[in-house]
Amino acid sequence: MTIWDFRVMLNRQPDSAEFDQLMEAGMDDCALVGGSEPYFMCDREAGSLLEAIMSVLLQIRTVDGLWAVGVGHDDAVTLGDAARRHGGRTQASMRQLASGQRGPGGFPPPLVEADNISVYSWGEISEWLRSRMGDDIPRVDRDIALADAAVKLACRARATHRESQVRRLLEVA
Amino acid sequence: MVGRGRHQHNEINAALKAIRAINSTFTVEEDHNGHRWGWITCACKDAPFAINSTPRNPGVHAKQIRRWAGRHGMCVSGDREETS
Repeated sequence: MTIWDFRVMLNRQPDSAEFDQLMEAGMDDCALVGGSEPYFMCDREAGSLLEAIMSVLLQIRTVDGLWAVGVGHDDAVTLGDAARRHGGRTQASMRQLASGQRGPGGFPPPLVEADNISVYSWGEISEWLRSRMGDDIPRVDRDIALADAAVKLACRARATHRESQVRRLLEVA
Repeated sequence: MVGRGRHQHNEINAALKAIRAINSTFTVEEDHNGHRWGWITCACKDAPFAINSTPRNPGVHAKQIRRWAGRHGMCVSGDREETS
């Protein structure tokens, strides 16, 4: 199975006891990034990206008063992450483009380079692949966009106490 | 027994060492609170990273640390800061 990387934005930062509860619920493959806009950086093994996101959302809901307010992708990626997000290139192909062995050269430089792991900006890589290699990559992953829209709809339904009606609406739409 | 200042997983220690080389303003603070080993903060004070004491896959958690650091690598010079 594939390990999918994504981030889940939270309505608030979990306290220490809640953090432990989440780790024990199975979120020990996610890293909490705190601050004013807290989120979990997730690397979840699953059959599909949507399954991976759903399983994280279910675990977050095990804590009272904690919920997701959005789903997105981290901009920082390794070449392996970039190949998986691209879907049509292997890690080896990305490595050859980055090193200039293949392609027109000028691959975006890494954000950081340390101990054999280089971290790149997915925004810069995807733009370079679109403009210089003609690759057809959507600006936002389709499944990430779907999950983000669903999470935002759920938040609005919760805020207006229309959860059951919105659930029904989705079934009949 | 692992001494203070060292995580029990070598991959995570290596990631902590590597990110200090990238940006000397990263601060690692141990607090050993339940499943949390400590925090990494950047000079920009935005979005501290919680280091898990019991990650499912230490290699993946080390990569998460590097990815987080990637977004703060140039915070000091202000050339590149968090964008999302």
